[in-house]
Amino acid sequence: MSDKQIKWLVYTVIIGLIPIFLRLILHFVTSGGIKLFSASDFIAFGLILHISNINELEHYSKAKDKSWKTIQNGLSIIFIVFYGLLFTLTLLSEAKPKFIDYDIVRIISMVFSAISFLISFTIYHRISKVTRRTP
Amino acid sequence: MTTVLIILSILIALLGISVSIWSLIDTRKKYYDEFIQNRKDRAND
Repeated sequence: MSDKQIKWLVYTVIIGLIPIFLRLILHFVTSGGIKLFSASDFIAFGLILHISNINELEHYSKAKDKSWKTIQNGLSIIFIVFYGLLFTLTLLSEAKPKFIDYDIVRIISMVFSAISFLISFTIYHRISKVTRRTP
Repeated sequence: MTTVLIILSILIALLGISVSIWSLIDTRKKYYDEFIQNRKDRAND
């Protein structure tokens, strides 16, 4: 693992997972008073990953990789917009429970945060390879 | 609404997964080609 990937893991992934970890701890400490998983925690984790991707791609300037960079930026923007939609639905499900099933929004948020992790990993994997080879 | 959300989610999820796999394969191919080229250059020197 390169230096850049370790920094990504520590500063982005672990920081992004804090709300999920805190909820897990509080769920067991308060013996079930707090829900085990919440959609908004996973949405926050996904947003953190994609914002970090866009920031990293902004500073990445390899001439041959322009199309790859554009595709990854576009994908991150699509995911950010979709997370915005999921967050709106989370708020709506609180106000109007019949409008949307909260459990489905929660499952989709969990799956999407895993996909966001995969996308972020592939971006840092490539960037770290380039920076390792460029003197 | 739920059906629309599920269909939209599946489409975006498939897009995300396919771009990730493409990116991994492209990265591997790109650096494998570079590695072969470097080896040829070293052999010629």
